[in-house]
Amino acid sequence: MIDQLDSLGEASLKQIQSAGSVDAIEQIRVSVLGKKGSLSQVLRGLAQVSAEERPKIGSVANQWKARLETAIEEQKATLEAGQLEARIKNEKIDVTAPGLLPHQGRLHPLTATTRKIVKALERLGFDTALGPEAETEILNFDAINISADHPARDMHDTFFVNPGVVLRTHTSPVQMRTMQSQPWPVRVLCAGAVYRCDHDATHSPMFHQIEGLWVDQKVSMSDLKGVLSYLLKELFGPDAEIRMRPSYFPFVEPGVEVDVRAKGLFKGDGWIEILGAGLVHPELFKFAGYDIKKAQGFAFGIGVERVAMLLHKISDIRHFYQSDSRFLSQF
Amino acid sequence: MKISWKWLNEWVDLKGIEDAKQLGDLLTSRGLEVESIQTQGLGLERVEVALVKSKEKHPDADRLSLCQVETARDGILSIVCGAQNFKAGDYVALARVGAELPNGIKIQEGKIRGQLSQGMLCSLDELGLAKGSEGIWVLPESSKLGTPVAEILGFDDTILDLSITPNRGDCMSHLGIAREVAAATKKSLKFPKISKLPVKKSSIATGITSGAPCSQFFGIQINGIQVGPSPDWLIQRLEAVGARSINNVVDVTNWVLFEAGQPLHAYDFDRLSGKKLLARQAESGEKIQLLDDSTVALTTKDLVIADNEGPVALAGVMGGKASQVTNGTTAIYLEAACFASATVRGTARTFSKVTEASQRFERGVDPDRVSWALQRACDLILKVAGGQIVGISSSVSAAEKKEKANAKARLIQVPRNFFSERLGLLLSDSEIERSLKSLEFEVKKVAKQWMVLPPRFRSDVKIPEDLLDEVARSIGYEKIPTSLPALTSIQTRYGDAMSRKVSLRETAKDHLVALELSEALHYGFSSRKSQEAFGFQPTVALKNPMHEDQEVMVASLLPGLVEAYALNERFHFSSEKMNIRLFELRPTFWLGESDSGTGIQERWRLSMILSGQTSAEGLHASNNSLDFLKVKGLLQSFFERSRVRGVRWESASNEAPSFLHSGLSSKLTIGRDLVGWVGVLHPSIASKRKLRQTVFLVDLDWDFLEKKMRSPWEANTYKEWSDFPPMERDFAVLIKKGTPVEKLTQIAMKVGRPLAKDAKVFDIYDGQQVAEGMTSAAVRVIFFEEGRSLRDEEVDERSALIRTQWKQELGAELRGG
Repeated sequence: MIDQLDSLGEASLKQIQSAGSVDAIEQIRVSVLGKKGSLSQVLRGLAQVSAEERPKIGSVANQWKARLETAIEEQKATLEAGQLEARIKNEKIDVTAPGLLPHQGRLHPLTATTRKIVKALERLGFDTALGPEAETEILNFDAINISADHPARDMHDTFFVNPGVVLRTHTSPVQMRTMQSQPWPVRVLCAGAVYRCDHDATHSPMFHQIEGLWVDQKVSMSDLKGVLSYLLKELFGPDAEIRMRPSYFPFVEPGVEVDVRAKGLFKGDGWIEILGAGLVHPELFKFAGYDIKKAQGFAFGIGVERVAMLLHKISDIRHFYQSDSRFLSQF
Repeated sequence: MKISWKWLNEWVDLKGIEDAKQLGDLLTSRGLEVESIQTQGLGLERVEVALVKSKEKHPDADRLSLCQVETARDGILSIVCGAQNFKAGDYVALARVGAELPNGIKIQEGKIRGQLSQGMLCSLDELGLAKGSEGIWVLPESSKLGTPVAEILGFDDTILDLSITPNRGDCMSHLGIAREVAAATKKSLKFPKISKLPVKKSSIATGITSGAPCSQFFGIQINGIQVGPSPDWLIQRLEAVGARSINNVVDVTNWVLFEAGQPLHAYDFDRLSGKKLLARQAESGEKIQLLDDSTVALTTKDLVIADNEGPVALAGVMGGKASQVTNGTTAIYLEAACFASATVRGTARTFSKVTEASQRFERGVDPDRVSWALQRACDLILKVAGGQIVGISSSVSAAEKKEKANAKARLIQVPRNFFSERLGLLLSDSEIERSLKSLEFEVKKVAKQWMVLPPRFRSDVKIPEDLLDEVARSIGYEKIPTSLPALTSIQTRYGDAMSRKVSLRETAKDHLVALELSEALHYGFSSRKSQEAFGFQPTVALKNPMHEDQEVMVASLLPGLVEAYALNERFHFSSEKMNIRLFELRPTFWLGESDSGTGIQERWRLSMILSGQTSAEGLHASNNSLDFLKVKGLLQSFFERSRVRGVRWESASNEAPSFLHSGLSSKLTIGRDLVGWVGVLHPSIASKRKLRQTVFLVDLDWDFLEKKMRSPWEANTYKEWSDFPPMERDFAVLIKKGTPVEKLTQIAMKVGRPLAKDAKVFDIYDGQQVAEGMTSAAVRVIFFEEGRSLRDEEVDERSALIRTQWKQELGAELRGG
């Protein structure tokens, strides 16, 4: 009987190892190891075998059963691996076909530039304040030391809206609104759209400004220079240099015009006028109700378009407001 | 303001300053910004006097002549010329080979119709002198061969154009600029010698009415003058600084204005009536015809000089026509006065007559220079127009007398450490003293104070801070070190309404960019018509718009976005769809009460325009166009990201604003409040603008949305989730066409509670297999319970309830069951 088992086992093993498909193996498994399989049939003769032979034969039968089961699993795995490989070989895509692109959402370059400036200054402790674009003449002019008969009013080509109301010509009124609403210390950035009747390649009737105001008990011109020097390096690179020249803005005294020079950034490596600044004029503190003997401060104003135009070498300011995708898609 | 190098050099020695550029840098560093530097005679370097020896007709051209021209350095040259207005023996201006004329023409040797031409004979037009003058410039017979024409024209000066800030009235003259140069280079001013003022009285008296905005009024009468053209030196100087020569008398008054900054006016003495000239406020309704021929009607705000019969000059602005100095004038009355800045400014603005005189008065003239200027002008008039001084009259206001006598009132007291502290630069007393004294300030140390007396021509210096600038620019701003201000306290931004607004706006922009939209920015104003075309009535108009397409403040951002869309379509040349996805977050402007106190409300809107494909590009991308549901999904995602809850979408139908296609648009609400509108641009607007693609518009009330958003610092609370599997049931439901499918999910959620946790429509179909007038919707309901697995029976029970309610409320039947 052992011989019978061995020959059945050998034959089945060969069958399994030469099986060409998972289905064929399954059939072999049923025909050999199944309830009615050939192995079971052989074992049915076990009843006629003597009691001392029985365990021996049983153990041989179990060994064959285990061997055949392992062989089936092995052959199955080999066949499945082969099938997968064949499928993978079959599945192909032309990777040179064009990809399906999402749209590129982009911030407006003026928003991006504003954020650049704001982010740099936030590190120093500045917060952002907002104010209306249609502003009272009082806050736009009188409150910041530009009285009605002041020649400096002509520096501002003002759009008039309602009696006593103008489109703000700078964001300075936001400085005043801030000072009126809180005691010092004040560290505030006033960013937003401003308006002047002026239109050419470098002037737009609406443009954007960021003004900074710092009020505390000890504030000096060198502090202003330090802050602006840092800001200009943040914007134009670590080798950016700063130059202050005396100038005049009624809301500061002394007032300075600030030039920047940075290697390679501008043609000719010359000085470029970039912003106006100065120490806050006591008249503003008076208007805000601050103690002019104690409050000291500096203020500066920078044109966002000017910075963006320099950074991106944009030659015509009008591009900013036309939403031409040939322009907007570049930022 | 134009400054002549030569003229300046007469007032202060410019030796040691290399050239105009260096002078410009020096002035700029002192706050006098140089806008441009112009060298006279540029382009005339190779143009010189030549003599025409012979002139014959060109053998091959009727209109040209062939000339032999004698030159100083090249002998006889052959020149072909087209002009006819000269003859052999004339002296002419020859542009030599290599010259590059002011109009850009480069002179080369060449052949014209076969004849050699070795230069060009020039017209005044070609030399950039007299526009449109024809024929070549024939010079006087006294001309010397080889003389550069620049020399003949007196073009050997360099002109600096300065931009003078409004505070520096004292710098509106060569004297003023010379003063700054002198301070910077430690030199002294060179004043021209002037005669003493006459003592004899003039036959006309001057007067200032009480309260009139005039502090000094002087006049000198000169008889026996001969009015005529000015000498060359006078004309050249005036032209160099941009003025036109009129006659010798007027030219002298202008000379003194440019020289010393004091405007003067000369009247024809014989045209003045009565014995007195009065500086007085105009009477309402008075009229005067001015030198520029215009007639203006005056009010009491204007100051005039008046004789017996009425105003003869608009004080400080412009003289009157009737008494102007003409060639027939033989006697003049020369006025030098000091008028109040505000008055002159007001009058000049009111009548739009900003003149050299008004610009100086409104910035303030030197009260101590008035009589000097008058005498200086007298000296020059006697020199160029002859005549004799008859006498002088003068009036000085009480206020001026008092101010002059009381210098103490102008003293500025400054703590000793003020300069070092405020500039952030340690300065010695002597540095401060030297700086201020160089600018003619008187300085004294008294105990712990500086006592500083500014000169009278510096009316802009009144407070200690004003002195900071004087010291800083003397020392040089480059000497100031950099430091950082101390951060003495810091405030949290929590609860700060302004920070919240800024943060939400910027975050919203980021969300929209992530949702593949780009940011647009348009002007705050537009044309009324374009706003009205969208059904918006602008309520805020500009009083002084630059163009009519900028006449009103926008009431809606949509017209601007559609305009931008149209512009892009105009330049879209591809056969593919154009992809436009723009948003704009900006205020609109409305009349109405506002916190800002301006009577104008700035209502912020978030508006969008979208058109094109769902994917930007790629294989089959064009098969997938944007539709309403994609736009809706995008907005839902935006609300989700922005943590805005409870937005309801309803068909806009007859409520739809006129700019939207009512069937393809939706009204968005939260509770009872309107959030905004979404939909397809109305076809009538699209066709009027000839738009090719379907355009979606979104217009949301940002101020309202902002209120509904959580503050950036309010973190959302984490929620526990269930690990037990949910159970899903899908239903195919037949409903009447036109029933909002949302009703199905709403009912499912209401009736399926508490086990039904979500319900969604995942298919809508009304094709062939569905009966006429019906729609089939596929609804999936998701059930689960925290903490346990659901049993089939429970879910079936709920499902049955849902079906029953669908049938009851909507008459809906399950498809195929």
